[in-house]
Parts: sequence; C-alpha cells; structure tokens
Amino acid sequence: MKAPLGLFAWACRQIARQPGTALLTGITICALVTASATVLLLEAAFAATARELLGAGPSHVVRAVDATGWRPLIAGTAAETARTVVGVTAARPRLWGVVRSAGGAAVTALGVVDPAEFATLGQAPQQGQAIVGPGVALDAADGAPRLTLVAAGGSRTFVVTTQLDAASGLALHDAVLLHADDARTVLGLGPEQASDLAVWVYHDAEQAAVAQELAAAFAGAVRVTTRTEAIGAAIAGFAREGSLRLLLLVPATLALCLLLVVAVRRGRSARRELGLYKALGWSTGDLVRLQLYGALAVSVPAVLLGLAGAGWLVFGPARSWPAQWLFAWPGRAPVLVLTPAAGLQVAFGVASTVLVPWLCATLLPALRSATVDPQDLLRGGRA
Amino acid sequence: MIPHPLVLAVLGCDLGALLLLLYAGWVAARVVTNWQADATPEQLRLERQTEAAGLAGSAAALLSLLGSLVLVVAFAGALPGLVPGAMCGTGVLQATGGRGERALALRLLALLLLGAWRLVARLDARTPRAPLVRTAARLLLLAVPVALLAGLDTWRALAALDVHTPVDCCAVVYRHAHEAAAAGTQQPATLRAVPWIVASPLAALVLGVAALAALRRGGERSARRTGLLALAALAFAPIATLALVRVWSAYHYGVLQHHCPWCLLLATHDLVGYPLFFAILLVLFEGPTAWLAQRLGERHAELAAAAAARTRRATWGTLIGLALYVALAFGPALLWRWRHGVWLHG
Amino acid sequence: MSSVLECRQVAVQRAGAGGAPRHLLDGIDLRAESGTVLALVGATGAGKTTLLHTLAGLLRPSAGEVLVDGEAISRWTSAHRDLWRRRVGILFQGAELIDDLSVAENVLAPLVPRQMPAAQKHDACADTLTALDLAPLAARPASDLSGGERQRVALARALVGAPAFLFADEPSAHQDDAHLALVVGQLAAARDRGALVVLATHDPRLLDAGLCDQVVRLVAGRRAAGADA
Repeated sequence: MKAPLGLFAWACRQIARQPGTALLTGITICALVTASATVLLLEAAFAATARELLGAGPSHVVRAVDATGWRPLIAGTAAETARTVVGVTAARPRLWGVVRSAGGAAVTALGVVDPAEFATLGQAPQQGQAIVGPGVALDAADGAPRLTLVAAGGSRTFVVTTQLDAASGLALHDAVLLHADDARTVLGLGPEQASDLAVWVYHDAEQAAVAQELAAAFAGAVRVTTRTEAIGAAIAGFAREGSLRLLLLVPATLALCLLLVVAVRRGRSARRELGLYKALGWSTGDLVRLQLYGALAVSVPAVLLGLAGAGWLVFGPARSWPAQWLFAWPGRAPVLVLTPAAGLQVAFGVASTVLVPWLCATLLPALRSATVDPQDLLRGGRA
Repeated sequence: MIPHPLVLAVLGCDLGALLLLLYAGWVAARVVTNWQADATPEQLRLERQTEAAGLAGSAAALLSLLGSLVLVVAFAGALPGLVPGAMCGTGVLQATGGRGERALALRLLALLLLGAWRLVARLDARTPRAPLVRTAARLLLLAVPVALLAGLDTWRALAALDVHTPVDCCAVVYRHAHEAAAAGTQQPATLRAVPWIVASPLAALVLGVAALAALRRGGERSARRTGLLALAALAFAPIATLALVRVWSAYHYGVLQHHCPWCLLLATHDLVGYPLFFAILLVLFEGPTAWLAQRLGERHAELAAAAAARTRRATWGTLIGLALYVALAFGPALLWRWRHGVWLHG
Repeated sequence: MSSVLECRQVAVQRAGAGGAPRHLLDGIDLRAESGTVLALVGATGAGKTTLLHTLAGLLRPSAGEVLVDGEAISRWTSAHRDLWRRRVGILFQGAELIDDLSVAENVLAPLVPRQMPAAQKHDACADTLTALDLAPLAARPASDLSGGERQRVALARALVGAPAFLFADEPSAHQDDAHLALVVGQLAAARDRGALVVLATHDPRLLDAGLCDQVVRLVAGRRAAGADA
C-alpha cells in the first residue's frame, strides 16, 4: 500500500492532483525571483567588490580644483606637502584618467609611476606599449594586437603586450596601463604633473580629521576624498542605477497577482472536499496548514531555483549577459565577489518580497475555504 | 523610497499583516455585536469565521514580529551603509526625520496588544464553550488600529529616509548625553551613573524574588504574587533599558560616554544588543502575562488548568529573560572589574 | 472507558418553502452506551440521517441537547466539535469519496492530521482494507469502483481510526450477501472492541443479522411511540 501518511506528504499529493497549475505557479515564482535577484545580486556584488577594492586603496585622494573643475597637481610638491601632515604615512602621485579608444569605448588610462606597484601583472609597459584589462576591446587589425587611444593632441596607437584575463577583477576591468610618459601625453598632462595624489594615514579612524588637515596644508583649492566617502559614492551610484532596473518587477508583480487569482479560484473549488475533511475530524488549523504546506512545497523550491539561477547569471560563465542588459556594461563583465552576509541579505530580501506576498495570497483564500463547515457538505445533498 | 531588499521585506510583511488583521478585525467586530450561543446558520458561520480570524490574527502577529525584526536589522545593520555619515541605527533614525522612532514605538505597542489578544484567544480556544470570545475580540479591535498606525508610520519613515543628506550619527548621541547632563546636575559622569548602577541590580533582584515567589503553587496569595511579578516586570523593563544604555553598554563599547542603544546591535559589538533587548522585551511581556493568565483562570473555572500552565510558563519566561539580561549586561562589567581591577565608572 | 450518548428533546429545524420552519427532528430522546449497537429505522425522509448527523456533531440541534458522558457537546463551538469528531467514525449515505484519490488514500484521510507514528497509520489502513476485502483495490482510483465497493471503502474510512463512536448511514447499501457478512462482521468487531455503533438503515437483512441491541423507529422526525425493539 502506497499512500501519503503525513500532512506535508498529503499536501504534496494534492499538488500532484493538479500538476499543470503547480508547474505554472512554480515557473512564475522562479522567473520573478530570478529577475529581481539578478539585479539585487549584481548590485550587492558590485558593492562588495568596490568595498574590497577601495578598502585596499589609499585612505585619501587629493585633487586640485579651480572654477573650471579638476586641474592637475604638481606631483613632487604635492607629495611633499601631504607628508608634512601629522598622521600621513605615505603620499604617491597618480597618473590616470578616462579616455576614449578608437572604437569609441571609454577606458581608464593608468600611467605606471612605480613599476613595483604593478609587478604582479608582469613586466611594466615600455613606451609605446600597453597592458590592457579584460573588458577593453582592441583594434580590429591583423598582426600584433594594438589599441588606439584618442589623446588630447591626436590619436596614439599602442602595442598590447598583455591582455589580462577575467580573474584580474573589477579594478583592472577597463584599465589600460601605459608608460608614465605615454600616459601624460594621452591625458594631456605636463612632465611634472599628476592627476591626483593618493595618501595613506597611520590610523584609519583618523580619516575625517586628517582630511581637514590635508586640505588646509595645500596652498590652492583641493578636494580631499576619504576612502569611506569613495566607497559610499561608488555604491550609491550603482544602487541608484539598480533601483531603476527594479522596474522589472512590475510585470513580475502582475504575474503574482494572476497567481493570487488562481489561488482564490482553487480555494473556492475545493470547498466541498474541505467540508468532507472537516467531517472526518480535520480542524480548521489542519486545513490551513495543508494549504500552506502545498503553497510552500511549490514556492520554496521555485525561490531556491530562482536564487540559484540569479547566482549563476551574476557569477557564472553567463555573467556578461545580465551586466550588459541590466546595466549597459560595455564588453565582458568583470569577476565580482560577494560577502556571505550580503548574499544572505539579497536572498532573504528577495525571498521575503516574493514568498511573503505569495503566502499571504495563499493564506487568505485558505482561511476562507477552511471556514467551511461539514454542514456545507451535507446541504449539498450528497449525504 | 529606496528599494532596498530589507525595506521591501518590511513593507511586504506589513502589507500581509495588515490584510490579515483587517479580516480578523472585521470578524472581531461581528463577534462583539452578533455572538449568540445558538444553532442559527449565522452563528455557525460566525464560529467558523472566528476560527479563521484567530489563525489570521496569529499569522498577522507573526508577520508583524518578523517585519519589526527585519526593520531593526535594516536600521541597525544595512541602512547605515547607505545614509552618509550614519554608523548605526541612530544615524538612520536621524535620516527618517524623527518618524522612525515613533514607528518603532507604535510597532512595539501593537505587538504587545497582539500578544495580549493571542494569550486570551489561545486560552479561550482550550475550552469548548468559548467564554472569553468577546474579550478576545475586543482586544483584537484595540490592536488593529494601533497596528495600522504602526504600518503607516513605518511606511512614512521609510519613504522619508534621506540617503543624500549627511547625518552626524554620534553628534546625536552626545547631544542627548549633554542635554541629560545639563538638565541634571553638574556632577561628573561617574556620579551620574550611580542611580542606574544601584537601580538596575535592585530591579533585577526584586523581579527575581517576585518570579520565584510566583512559581510557588496554589495558596490564597497567588493573585497577589503574580500581581507583584507583573509590577516588578513593568518597572524592570524601563530601568533595565536606561541602565543598559547609560551604564552597562560602556563595558561592551570599552568607552565611558557612548550612550548609544543602536551600536549594541552592530557586528563589531557581537550583535549583543539583540539578545539583550530580547531579554527586556521577554520580561516586559511575560511578567504581566503571568498575572493576566492567573486572573482569567480565577474568573473562569473551566480555564483554570490551562491558565495555571500559562502562568507558570510566563513566570519561567520572565526568569529566563532576567537571567539573560543579568548575564549579558552585568556579566561584562564583572569581567572588566576582574580583569582590570577597576570599574569603568570609578 | 465506557461512554454514554444521550439525546434530550433534540429538535432540528430548517427553513422550508416560503420561509416557514420545517421540523426535520422534533423532541427526540434516546440513550445508548458504548459496546452496543443502536439502529435508527424508518421510511425515507423520517429523519434517520439528520439524527445520525446530529449525534455525530455534524449538525447542531435547534433545541435540546446531545450529551456525551453528561457533557453537552451540542453547545460546544464548531472548533471543538471538529476535534471531538476525531473520536468518531462516519459513513455517509452516498459514500462521499474523493474520486481522483486511490482507495488507500481515501481510507487514510482521517488519520493524516493525527499525531501518531506513520507505521501505525500504515498498519491501521492496511488491516482495515484487508478486513473489508479491499486490499486488492488499494491502488485503484475511487472513481473506478462499483457502488458496493465505494460503500465498503467509506466504511473502511470510518473504521480506520478505531473510533469510540461509529455512525454508519446505510452501511449495507449495494452489498451482496457475501460482502454483507463482511460488513456485519466489522460492525460487530467495532462493538466488541467497546465502540458505540449507531446505524441508520432500512435494510431488513441488517436488522435480522442479530447485531442491534436497540432499534429506534422514526416517523416524520419523531420517535414512534412503542415501536422500538
């Protein structure tokens, strides 16, 4: 004899009596979770990656400003000035800026001031050479790989010695590493000039205090950005972008409403059978639990599957697709990291936003139908 | 409003709870006006609806509790990262323009009322003739508008959350501390802490004695003993909270003048605030529950056995809450004294 | 433990045509003890089924009381009467099976929400099916059964929880003589195990089987005076 003996097994048996409805419901919930979790997971992963990346960077960045915006710093003088501030342990001028490649894509040009800093990437680029990140599209030409950058004084073409693989991470995703002199040319800087100054302090808790001291130490107007501010700005920018993409949830929510209607209709059609269960000694609580277990048996695997799908889209081999479609990310998407806490937060949030309304949508008709009395069955004239 | 997953989760929980509570409230109103112990089809339908409303109310209470927990987690752990300058829930509450505090207070009140309703409804469900059905319905009718207001205020607070304007998290804490100092005497911090250092162990002692006395079975004085327990619990909760923030938190932070309740909920302080505030809430709810259950058992003989069991459970609940608080609030202070040979407060 | 089921002046009314109240039962008094069989007999429409359902707690009387061991269960809330029905087995006149479930699943249905070991549920179900010659049909959907088989499955469902009170409406319906003996045997076994068995029937074969300790004859919703056996 083969029969479901417990309440949960009985609920699963009830699902098996209407497999089409259960399958449709499961697919809709799964799609809803995949869509929303992909956006949120991408956002959370970017935030975690940015936090990790900026956390390893300088505690302050100093840039000179004037009425027209950013202006270059005099590298040597700026570094000396920064080192005079109490609490500063190191100050290093940096050469970088956003330029366009011949293909029109924006890339980040980095000048190698200290070859030791990039030692892990291999030999530093010589003049006329470039090391490029995995997201940079090279010139479409035969022979040695090349990259043309549109510089202030005209285009310049570099021989690409190395293209880093995807594992190099978000920091170098669209980076073009150049010899310092080439970088100055491309960025339109003079021989002694630098884009900004990276500063490290002894105690991280002193960031805010040192920022004020740094600003006061420079003769001209400077903008000092602390690491905390930089992390906040990066995350907030991406979060705003991601929030817009959450509009994707609108059609998904409509689908959930449809599921609600299905649940209500199913609740009504089951009244006679529920009256019979009541006559056989089932309580209202048993009937509500039966319907809740049925809803959970469909929705929990669907939510888990949806979350797994979102994880695969964001971190798996197909990660370029959502990044391109959701955030207009150029080229291949970088490898992102995610802290367990952030991942759990996304999973919990998505599960709550989908599971809670779905369970409520199930519970209300379940409560309604569970109020059935055996008399309803008897009045039907069947007994 | 920021579409943060936890914010959406809170709103989802609240929406579900409100829908269920509206249904339960509608049935409760009909119970108050129409309940008759007869065999009319209307009465039978009402009995079935009361059962369903009981389940709906319980589910709503659970969702409200879950929503409140998620809200606290969001305020304490997730949203400070989005509000510039916020380091804990204090900064986030500042960014809600003061609406967050009221929302949390209303949520607590709604949860207490729902808890009281559930206590009465569950006792009533243990007897076949439902002597407390109208009382339970009235309690639910009292809880529904408070829960609605709490939900509305939560929505407003989350909608008002400003993630662009920087807040000064610690400034709020220190301003409160300075205002408190200015309003009182010009005594040094160590002396200002003395009333709390004395009051909180005293309140804990009184509560412990009252709970142990309430555990004694039977006797004519059992009503008085549970009454004393309820009063002790009601007094203990605010004293324990203020003493925790003003004095005992210093032993978790390692600094004397950081009177912030929210920082206790940060991972850097081992999330110790969660069990601590849970312990205080447990005492606040279970102490009066012991008295209420005992009174109901006295008034309705058919409830006596169930009420006595609930009274006993509530008393044990109070004792567990008290033990948790003592261990986590006083324990670190004693540990500090043992390690360093001095108290932080001199 | 011995139980006593009593009816005191039980009346059941329904709104009839034109809204006037129609008496389905009126002033019924009876008393039966566990370990006995009570038969309710009478013509179609006499009120047998209504009385059976009232005794089983499915209907609440408009007047009078149904008492079990002195406790008026008819005044209980619907929720408590649901729980009380866990001590009760009910066989409906029209079987009331769930057609797309198997025979075994239909029989198991009353045990599903009960807190008891799965093996015990399984054994109780298997034993009951065997006792009523239904084991070969266990996996078949209820919709494939004949009228007699359906009635026996419904009886198996009523018996599977070893109830203290068994209320059976026309248990011998559609049964040939061989299967009638099985049905009578199971009803007698329930009585012998200490259950109170209440039957509603107009099958003389069942009355002649020597099973019934008490027969109550109903006429137009009233107990026929001096006609009981």
